[in-house]
Amino acid sequence: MDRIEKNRIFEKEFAVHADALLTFAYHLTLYDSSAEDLVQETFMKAWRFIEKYDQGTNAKAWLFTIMKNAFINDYRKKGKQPKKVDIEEAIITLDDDNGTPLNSYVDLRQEMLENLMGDEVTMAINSLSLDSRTVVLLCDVEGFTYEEIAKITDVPVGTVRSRLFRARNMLKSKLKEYAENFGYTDKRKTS
Amino acid sequence: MGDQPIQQSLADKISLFVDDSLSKEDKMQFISEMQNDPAISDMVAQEKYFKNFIKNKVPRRKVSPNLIEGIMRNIDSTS
Repeated sequence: MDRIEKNRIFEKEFAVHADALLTFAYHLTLYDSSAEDLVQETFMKAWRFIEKYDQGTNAKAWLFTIMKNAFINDYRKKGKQPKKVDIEEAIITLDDDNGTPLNSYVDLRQEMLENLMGDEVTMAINSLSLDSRTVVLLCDVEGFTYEEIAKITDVPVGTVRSRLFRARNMLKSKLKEYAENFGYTDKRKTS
Repeated sequence: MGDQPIQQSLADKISLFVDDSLSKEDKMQFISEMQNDPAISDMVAQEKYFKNFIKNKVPRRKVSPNLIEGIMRNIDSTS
């Protein structure tokens, strides 16, 4: 593959995903400057291994896989990010602060969400463990399928499903808490 | 339904439906269940709303031209 072809792939297939990668990087690292470093590292690795990429296939998933691995294998090991203990994987039925069982469905009404802003949503997502926020971002924000997420995160599809289910429930509980702090309530409780 | 937990299998099916991950056969069956049960249909609507809400509320970060230029410079220097 010559330099012109590499440049073409890079510009047409990789660079178009830069904003999506930066958004994901920010939620992985939780810092703007670290997110930019991670994007840079991801693109450098993509360039280095560009000949392993099948042109015209899923460039976005390929880049997200590189970023996820770069974060786990290199970035976090360098001590740039304090490692959180991920108890969600081990404790399936633990109740959260609101006493909501994490293995049951959290019913969060549309009316309660309507007045929440992006800041609250970002805070709520960033408060989740790395594995939980990863699946929410990949599925709900980036629109990847379960199979694609399984490949990016290197876990079975069943694990993706269960992580996503629990992550959404935790996110709903957190957002419900924010909404209630702002004075919004589930009107069905009082009727 | 209020805050009452529902059966996880149903909640799981709702997630799979909303994420378009049910098989064709299971999807048809679930659509039929929804049509016969307004409570399920309501839960599906809430779950779809939640998914779209998250997508729309997470701000898309914009890569600065400086970052792209820096990446291109690094690529040039390593090639």
